[in-house]
Amino acid sequence: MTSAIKIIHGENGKPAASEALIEALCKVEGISGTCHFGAPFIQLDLETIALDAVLISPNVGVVIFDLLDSPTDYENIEDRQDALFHGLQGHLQPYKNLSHGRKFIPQIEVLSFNARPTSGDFSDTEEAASVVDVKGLESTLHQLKNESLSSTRIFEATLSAVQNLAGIRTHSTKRKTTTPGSRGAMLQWLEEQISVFDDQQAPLVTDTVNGVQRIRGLAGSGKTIVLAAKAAYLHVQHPDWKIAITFNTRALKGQLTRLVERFVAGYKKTTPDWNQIHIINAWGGGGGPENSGLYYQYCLATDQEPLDFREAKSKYGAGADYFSRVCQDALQKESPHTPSYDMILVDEAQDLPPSFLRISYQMLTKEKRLVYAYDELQNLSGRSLPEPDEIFGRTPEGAPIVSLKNKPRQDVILNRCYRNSRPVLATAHALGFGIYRTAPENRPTGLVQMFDTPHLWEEIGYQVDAGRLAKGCDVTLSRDPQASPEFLEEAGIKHPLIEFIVFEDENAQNTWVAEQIQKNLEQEELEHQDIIVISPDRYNSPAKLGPISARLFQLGIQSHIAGVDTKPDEFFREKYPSITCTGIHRAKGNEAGMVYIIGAEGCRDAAQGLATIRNTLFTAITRSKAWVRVLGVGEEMELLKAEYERVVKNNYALTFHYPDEAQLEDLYKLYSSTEDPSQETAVALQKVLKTKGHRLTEGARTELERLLQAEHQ
Amino acid sequence: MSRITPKKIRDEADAVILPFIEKGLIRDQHVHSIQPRPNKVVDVGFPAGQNYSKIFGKKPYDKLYDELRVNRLFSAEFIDGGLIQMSYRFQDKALLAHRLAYYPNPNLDAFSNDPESFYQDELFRDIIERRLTAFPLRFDFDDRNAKDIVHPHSHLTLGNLQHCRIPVSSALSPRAFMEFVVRYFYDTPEHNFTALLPRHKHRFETTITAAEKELIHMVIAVPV
Repeated sequence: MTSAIKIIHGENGKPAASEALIEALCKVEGISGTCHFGAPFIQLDLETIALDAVLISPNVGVVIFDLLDSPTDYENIEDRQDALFHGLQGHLQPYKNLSHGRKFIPQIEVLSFNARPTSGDFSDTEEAASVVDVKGLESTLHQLKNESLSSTRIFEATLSAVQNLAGIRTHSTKRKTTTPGSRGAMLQWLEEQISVFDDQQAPLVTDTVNGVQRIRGLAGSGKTIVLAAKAAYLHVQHPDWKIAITFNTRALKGQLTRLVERFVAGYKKTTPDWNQIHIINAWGGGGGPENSGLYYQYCLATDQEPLDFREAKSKYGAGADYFSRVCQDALQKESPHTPSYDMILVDEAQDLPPSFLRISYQMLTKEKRLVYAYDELQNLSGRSLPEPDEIFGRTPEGAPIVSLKNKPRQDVILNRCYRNSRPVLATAHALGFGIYRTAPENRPTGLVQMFDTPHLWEEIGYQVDAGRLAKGCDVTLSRDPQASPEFLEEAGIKHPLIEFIVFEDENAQNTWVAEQIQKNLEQEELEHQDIIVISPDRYNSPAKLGPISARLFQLGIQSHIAGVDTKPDEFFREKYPSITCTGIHRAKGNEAGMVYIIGAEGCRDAAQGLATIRNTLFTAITRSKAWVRVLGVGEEMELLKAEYERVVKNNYALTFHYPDEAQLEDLYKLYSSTEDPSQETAVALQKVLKTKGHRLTEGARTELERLLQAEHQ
Repeated sequence: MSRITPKKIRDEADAVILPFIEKGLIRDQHVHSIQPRPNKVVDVGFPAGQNYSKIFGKKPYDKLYDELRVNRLFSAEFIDGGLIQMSYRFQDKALLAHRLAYYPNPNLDAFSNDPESFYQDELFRDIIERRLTAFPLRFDFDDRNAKDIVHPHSHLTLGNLQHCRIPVSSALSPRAFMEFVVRYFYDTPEHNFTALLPRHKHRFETTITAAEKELIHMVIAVPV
């Protein structure tokens, strides 16, 4: 019978003893539960340390394992066991749901585990009683059986409390709400529900494998927070390691810094040693340590001249993928260098070129601890990240340099979305893929893009309601309730979660938004940073957002347009309450309870790069933690609204015909491919026509594309 | 033109910012406030906070600029990071002093060197491409401390140079100051931002002396 004890790995500085315990636990029968290594952090005398291991089981309650590894471990066993007991109890007691009145429910025992066969020299029988070796483990555990965690509710609450390594909230906003049921009160309640790591996320924080780890997650699945928690955990457990967290969007730097500080403080009540843990941009610019990037460091380490953005632009000309080119060029030079990092964590990997991941790989010690996290749909350039064998290449013999062999530990998917409710996420996916888009003339489908691997739908948390999830087949998908927690929909009880509204003109749209925001602030107990206004227009967003900002100014409401800044700019003004108005690029990675998307009519259709445009809409909608209002003007907006209404009619299920191989090729070429140089011309022309108030019909557009393509051949 | 009151100045300060917020040229701003002080003094300006004057010391311009920006010590921030400060002080309903400053972003170079700006909007890119060499400028009006030629009632200081006091014909209204900045620092052949300004409403009386007029000076021309 296979063991019913789930193992979650962690760093406790005793790898051999841990392995022995894991092996022994796997042989134990009749006991189920979860054994977590290297967690949680407890107060032991004056120090804060992580437990070697702790078993949480409905059969035996809570059992702390004290691993006997070095000779000193065999001294003062009883004293240490007492301290561990008190330490863990101290960690768990603040959780009110683990007590009945004043009675603390979980029963805690401590076992000192001697991995070495009968080599312990304790003549003291008392001590020997609470020391167990491989042979005696199973029987001792059975002797410890008790009912304290037999209730599923208490068991899960205890497990959650243990996995909440530091017992802290990651969202530390304190709200002043007086009206129950107000929007502000609802957001407060939602935030409380998601303040602990779940059972998918918790293992990611403590479990570190040698080799590359890939984390794929839905937008809003907590990837960034998990990465920060992981980096902080490894930093406190391995203070001698050099760790780097890198990312694409500069604004993430502030966010990651704050998160790492908070987690390190939570785990060990100390501050990070920034000499050992670096939060740095992927590219970086020359201007001093503030702007140093991983690419820059690599160039310096390999004795090459790094190129900055301006230099790359002049070297490679217009339209090139600059970062990809500079990384590729840097990798050409085969020069030996000392590895700089013990671990590198890459966030937003979907926005970084594969060549950058190769650079990161080069900068690591031989254990090659590289963690890269990404979101399949968030990339605004329409490109998805290839598989590891394509990213990292092959040896001269043909074997892949990186393969994620240890599947559950090296290849992880976070499919629970904690930001968007089921209706919001399904709407975003439906519109992003064009599931219910009316097929244009002469086209077999309205789809704009589709996953190459059908199975990915299930991995991101959809279930098959009808049909078959395979190329060439009809299928109906809907959100798996496991992956889209229902509590997120509570916000929709009093106020609709999603609304698509068509206005007569921009003026009417802007006036409405300003009035709604005024109401949100003055009557509905929302704070300024609960509200974002997004303009998905990629070329003109300040001009689109300006009028709303102006109206708010006239109403005495503070707002600002999120800008690009040379210093890390705060997206939300924490010290100075202000409504953030933003273009799509700066919106990425941020979230708010109330999201207004203006000028959405521009997202329905486009002459070129429709997949990217639809991805923009996807990203905008998925910024919302609760409510989203999609607003626009004119016929295009009517059509977009109609597309949304089809989603509603299908009860937020996605019913479509999965394209076959050839059709997928076709879709890619038509809507995603950016290799076509005629594109820039087409886009420029479209813009000029737009300012004159003209619009290309579908037929004219196709014809124009054809002519341009012919010209460029 | 009727008497210029603190309230009128406050309203105009807001009114000259508004069209640029609408256009997206200004990305952050404060509503101006009226603060009564002892001795019948009334201040009009942006919220400054207690440490405002301490920020100005001997420090390099880019440090000063950063502190002003991060602490939001401005009336408005342009999309390229340029900061506008407008403050007026009245006593007994007469203008005692004003301080109208423009702090351009010294880091503009870094914008064009920023990959993220690649995605940025056209307006932004047009402004950034202009290659301004940043230096601060300030129009001061000081009735109390005026000294012929050495310290004109109304003067322009360039680059924070203490003894650079170019005589100016009179005090400036927010409207006049805003036009100066927008016309000469933001307008391009393609973009006529100045045209968005509301019309002039206020003209301050001439304070430049005969001797000062003999020097090279600035004339505030307000259409009648």
